[in-house]
Order: sequence, then C-alpha cells, then structure tokens
Amino acid sequence: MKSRYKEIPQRLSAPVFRLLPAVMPAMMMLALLTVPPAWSQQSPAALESDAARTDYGRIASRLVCQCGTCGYLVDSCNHLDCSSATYIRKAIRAGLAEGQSEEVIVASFVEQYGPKVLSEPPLEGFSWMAWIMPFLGLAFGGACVGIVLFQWNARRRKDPGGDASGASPAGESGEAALAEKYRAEIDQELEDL
Amino acid sequence: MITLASFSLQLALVLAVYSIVASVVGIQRDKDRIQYSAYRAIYAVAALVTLASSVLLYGLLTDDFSLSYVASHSNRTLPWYYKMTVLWSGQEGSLLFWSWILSVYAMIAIMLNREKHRPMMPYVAATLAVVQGFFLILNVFVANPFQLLGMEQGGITVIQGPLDGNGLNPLLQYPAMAIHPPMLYLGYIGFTVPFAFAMATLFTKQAGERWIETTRRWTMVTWLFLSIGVMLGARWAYAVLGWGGYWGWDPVENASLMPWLTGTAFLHSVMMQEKRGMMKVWNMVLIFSTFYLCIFGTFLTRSGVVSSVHAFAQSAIGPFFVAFLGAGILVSGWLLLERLDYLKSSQQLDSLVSRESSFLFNNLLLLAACFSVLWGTLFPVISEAVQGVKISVGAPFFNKVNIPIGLLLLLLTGVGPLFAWRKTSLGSLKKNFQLPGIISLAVGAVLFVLGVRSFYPQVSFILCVFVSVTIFMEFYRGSRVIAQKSGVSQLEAAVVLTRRNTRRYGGYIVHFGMVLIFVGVTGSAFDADREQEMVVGDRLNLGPYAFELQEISDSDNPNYASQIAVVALYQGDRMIDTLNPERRFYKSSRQATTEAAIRSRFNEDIYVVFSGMTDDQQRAVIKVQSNPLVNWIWMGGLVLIGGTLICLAPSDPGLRPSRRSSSAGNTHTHEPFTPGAQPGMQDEEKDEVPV
Repeated sequence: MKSRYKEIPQRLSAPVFRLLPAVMPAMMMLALLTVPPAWSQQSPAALESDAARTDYGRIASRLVCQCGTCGYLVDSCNHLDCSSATYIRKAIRAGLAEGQSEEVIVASFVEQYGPKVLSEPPLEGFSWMAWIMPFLGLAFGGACVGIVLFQWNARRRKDPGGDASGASPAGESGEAALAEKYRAEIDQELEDL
Repeated sequence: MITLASFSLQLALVLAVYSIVASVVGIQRDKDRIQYSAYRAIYAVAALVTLASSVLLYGLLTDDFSLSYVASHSNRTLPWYYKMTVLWSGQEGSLLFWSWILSVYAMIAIMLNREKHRPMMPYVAATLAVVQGFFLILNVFVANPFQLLGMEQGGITVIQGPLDGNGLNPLLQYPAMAIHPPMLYLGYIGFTVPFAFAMATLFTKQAGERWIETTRRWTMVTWLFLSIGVMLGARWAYAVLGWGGYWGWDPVENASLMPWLTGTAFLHSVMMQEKRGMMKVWNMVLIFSTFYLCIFGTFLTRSGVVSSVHAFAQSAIGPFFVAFLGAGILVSGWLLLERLDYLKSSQQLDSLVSRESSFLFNNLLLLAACFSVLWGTLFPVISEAVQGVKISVGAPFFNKVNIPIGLLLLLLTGVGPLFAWRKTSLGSLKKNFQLPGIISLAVGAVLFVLGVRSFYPQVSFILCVFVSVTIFMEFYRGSRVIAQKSGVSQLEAAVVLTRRNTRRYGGYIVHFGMVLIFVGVTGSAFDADREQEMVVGDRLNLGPYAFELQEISDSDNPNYASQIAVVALYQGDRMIDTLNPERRFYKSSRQATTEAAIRSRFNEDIYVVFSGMTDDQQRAVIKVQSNPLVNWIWMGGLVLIGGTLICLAPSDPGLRPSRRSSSAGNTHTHEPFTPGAQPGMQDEEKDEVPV
C-alpha cells in the first residue's frame, strides 16, 4: 500500500536533519567528555574513586558517627565540634601514623563501639540478611512476574481469538495492527530519504 | 483568639466524625441530603482548620511567645519569611499544617467530583474524613500547637511567655527549606485522594477504570509535588548540611523516596489498566502502598524509631501512627481480598516482547528498589529486636544494593517506551535500537580510552546516552513527518507533536530529566576531597586546583555571629575565584553551623567548608571537594518538572501547524493543515509514556 506521506514534498532532506537524532546526544556526550578538569588533567588512575581517596578517607567512610543523632559517616559528619566524629577522626589519623593497617583500625572501633559503628552490615550471622533480602525480594518479584506472564500467555494460547480485557478489545487489536503498519511506513520513508 | 483556634480544631474533629457517620448513614438510607451534609461538614472542617492555622501563623508573625510552640521554635530576630516556615518546623505545627493541606485537598476533591461520581462520593468523603479525623485527633489530643505557657502568681496561673523564643533550627534557615517541606507535604497528603477513590471503588464494587481516569491527573500533580520536595531536600542537604553530598540515605530521606518509587510504579501501571484493562488488583495494591508509605514516612520522622538528622524530637506520637497504619492496612487489605472477584479480568499477553511486559518489569524494579530502601531503613531496628545488637545501615549499603537496580531501571526507561502494545516485531526492535546501541557503545569506548574504567560509571554513562538517543529519535521521527507534511521547521513540528500528545511526549521529557539526574549521580563516582589545617597564606592542592587561605574575618548580626574564611582558588598560576566558607553561631538557639561556599559550574562544583579551628585556635580546618557533574542533577530535576507539567496540559490531537510556502520568501502563508491526513500521528495519540 502506498504511503500517504509520499504525497507530501520532502523539503527537509538536508543531511543535518537526518543527523538530528545524533546531534543532541552528541552535544551531551561532548559535555560529558569535556567535564571536569579532574578528568582531563589527571591521570586515568586518578579517575578511579578509590584511588582518589586517601587511606584516612576510606577508613572514615567505613565508620558511622556515634553521636547518636546524625547517623552520618565519620567522613561526612560536618557537625561543628561533634565529639564523636572528631574523636574517631583523630584516632584514625593516630592509627595511620603508627602504621596500623586499615583492618586493624576498623577492628579497634568495632571493639570499642560494637558492630553499629560500621557503615554497612558485616558479612556474618544475622547481618547477612541485610544483604540477601533485597535480592531475594527482587528474585521473588521476578518469579511472580514470570508466573503472571506465563498465565497471560497461556490464556492467549488457549483462546487465541478472544480478549476479555476491559478496554475495547477489538479496537485495541485494530490499533495495534495499525500502529505497527504506520510505524513501518514511517521507517520506510526515513530510509527513502 | 488562641481559645478560638483550639475550639475550632475540636469542632473540626467533631465535624470530621460527623462526616464519616453522615456518609455511612447516607449510603445506607440512600439519602442525598444526608450525603450532602457530610460533604458540607468536610467544607466546614477546611474552614475551621484554616482558621486555626491562620491563628498560629499570626502568633508566629507577632512573636506571641505565650504560645509554647512559638517560644520553642521562633524568636524576635528571625526574618518574617522564616517565621512563616516555623509553622511546619516543629512537631505540633507541622501536624496542623498537614491537617490543613488535607482539609483543603478533601474540599477540592469533593467539590470537583460530587456531581460527576455521585455513587462513589459518599465513600470517598468517608475515607477522607477518617484520615482527617486521625490527624485532628493528633492536633487536639497529642500534639496541640496551642499550648499556652504560664506561671504561678499568687496562687493563680497567669498566661505569660518568655521575652524571646529559642529560635528556629539554623539548618532550616535556608530558602529551599522554606519550600521543601510544603512540597513534600503536598505530595504525601495528595495521595490520600486517589487512595480514597480506590477505597470507594472497592466499596461500590466498581471494576472499571473510572477511579483511575478521575484521579490520574491528581496523582500526577501529587507525584510532581513529591518530586519537587525530594529534589529540594537534596539541594538543601547539599548546600546546607555541609558534607558535600546531596543524598545521605538518611531514614527521613528514604521515607520520602519510598512513596515516590511506588507512586512512579503506579503512574506506569495505570496505563495497563487504561489501555488493556489489566492489573486492576495490582493498581489497588500500589496506591494503597503509596498512601501507607506516606503515613509510614510521617511516622518515621516523628516517632524517634530511627535516629536521623531530619527527625523531629522523640514523642509519644508513634503508637497512634502504628495503630492507624495497622487498622488501615487491615481494612483496605480485607476489602481488597473481599472484592477480588470484581477486579478480575482475563488478560492475555500476545508477546513477551511488548509494552505490557516492560511495564511489569518496570514495576518489579521500582518495587524492588522501594523494598531494599525500606529493608535497609528498618534493618537497624530489626537487628536490634532479633539479636539484641544494633547494626548500622549507611550509604555504602544503599549504594551497593540500589545501583544495579537503578541501572536496570535506566535501561528500561530507554527500551520500554519503544515497545508496542501487545507485540513488537523483531524488525521494529532492530530499527529502534540499532542507532542508540551503536552510539552509546561508541561513547562507552571513548570514555574507556579517556580513563573511565570503573564498571558502574561506565555502564551508567552508556545507558544514559542510549536512553537519550532513543528519546531524541522518537521526537525526531514524529516531528519529521509533521515538518514534511506542513513545511514548518523541525523544531516547530516537535512542539506541535508534543502538544498533540502531551502525555506521551511530556513523558519522554520526564525520562530525559531522569537521564540527566543519572548523569549527575554518576559524576559522584569521581568526587575528590581533601582536608587540611591551614594558617593564612597556606595552600592546599586538589587535582588541578590550589586553595589559598587569605584571611579569616568576623561578622555579627542580630541573628548570628560568624567567622568567614577567605579562600582564593587558583588553577595553575591564575586565580579564578574567591570563596567564602563560613561558620555561624546562632544566638537564640545557641547552635553552630557551617555554611559551605560553592563554586558551581556546568561540569563541576568546587565545594569549600570551613570546618572549624584547631584546639589551639591557631589554624583553620578547611575541607575542599571537587564534585563533578552535580549540577546535572538540579538541571534534571527542572527538566522532570517541565516534562510533568507538559503531561498535565491537555492534548490537542487536532492541532495543525501552519504550512509555510517554500516559494513565498519571507511571506508565510497559514494554510490549514489537515490532521486527518496523518494516520501515523493518529496512532501516536493512542500511545503514551507515563511519568
């Protein structure tokens, strides 16, 4: 069937319009690539966040301020004269100055405050549940979606012609066919340009 | 006047109860007059709560410190605009503010729909009145904002307040904070209306899409408010809290994110019901979840269950919320199970590769994200209850769990809208995804060469480009057809295209806003910081920058005293800016804060904090940060708002661009263009992208 669009003079066939879908994302990419001086003026290794952090910063981000109200990472707590964060920071620096390893320093805080000082649940005992449950939830939800899709698909196989869905089944079916047809027409014209 | 305000709250509570009773009796006896009296009672509640709120606001503006609330949260030197914000800064005031917004929402919802949906409205009114009644109980009995201060004089109690109040929490004295809570409240509370319509649908055993059609726009406005509230909260955290980040996965932040996630899922899945009559039960579950998560968020903020920098003081309000949540979930859950037969529909799926499937997976991921946030937020409480030891769950946990889910969502944002309803052919898939795939992988390769080799940032940037290209292709294809047929420019054609189907193309713009937000968030993987004790003249280096402490000066005003560090920023040998981070000491509240100095650019923020002085008061502790791409988050937020506003605007399917004659030189002829000649566009009208 001949497309009705072909009756319209094609005035905008200049290459620039063909490239339009790529132009805007290209601008975005350009912005991404010209972003921070840190990207362009540092070595690639410095781009890795871990490498950009000092030992102190890495340890401080593994610990939570114990003031009891803020719940911030020691690294982030910015409460002026916060006794807890200030003490922990000094202790980290002292430990590093003495040549202690990251694990030894962190363990000393766990011994002092208990596991609540850690910024994420440790991989042991009941704390495993913290890590497992979100993905278990996702898997469970995925299984439910799979079952639902299977049931819907099974209904179609059982009754290929019917659709008792609420929204004008015949019309929807016709719309879907039309949608596919018109999309194909548009695509064909794009190729013809 | 204060007595009048107290009385008006009590009367409002009585009228809310009356409204519930009158609605039920009106339904049972099928008497319009009784039902209408229930509606009028809701209008009266709105008037009475407005009166009470106005009195409290007047007390705040006139420094009436005989009111305990005013004395606790305000002071004389506070600027008038911050005095107004005190209305929602404390427990009692914010609960009154909540009641007021709900009462106005309820009034508008009833006024707009009482004639259109007559059978449903008594149930809607009863549900709204139950929620209103709960908050009025809190206002009257648990957190009354009209408590007076008094003292014993000669055996009698004389009403008398202090000469000045304690002042507003300094962290709240920031312009965005003046708008952030009202926006969040407008979002939280707004979900009560679609919830009420959903309940009414179940009560009246209406299986159709009426409640969704009625509340779709309302839900979108509410979602918009919530989105603005969340964005403003992030902006406030970034500019005021001074730790250099915008999202700390604090329990209260999480409380605002959870209903946003389920609300987003709802806005997507209602499309399935509108288009195909599918997911009727699921939509009920989603709107119920969203409403209860809003209430749960309020509970988290106010009960002291979790510690948070945002939380209100611990109070006895928690059990009331638990009881309300428990009863509400039981009733709505029971009702849903009871009405399952009415909601069933025999859906069919023509293909796994279809818009229907993408919506299911979109819902799955949004709900998975919501669950992981909820689980992480509650895990400290759960772990303490189970093993007697509290385990902290901080930002590293949430980042590790949510980043993969977020990236999958981003992928679906690009892929989903390009699937057709029912079935998508292989050829169509190839045509739609070939160009975006090639371009995004090319960008990924370039970024890899430039040194971006961490897995998540790399994947995130690739997906951002992929989604952007798919969105621009959709605009390009549609607008090109219009441009060809009418002779208008491609840009004008894109505007026409958008106006013809605001919901679809506004949705794309919202998706693009989310892409920008993802770009900004990904930038945080490249944050760098350094802290140093400095005397005047010292230099600190961070990447290509050097920071020189030039001066430390003092300043004073009636509200606060401050110490300001003057820091010169150099790039190479060239001084490019001067930054002035501050430490403030607020006199009334006797609290100290830091005011970060931020040099904001399109590609990067330089963030300088004056953390304090060393113990010997000789050296200033200066922390500097480079935060790449953070501005993209705020830009993305604005694009998201713009896109949602476009979605809310009515579509004009018959809109015709004016044809321009190519031979007419500068003369534009405005021949009408026949929309009927655009079968493709007519089809586009049927297809929408939800926000």
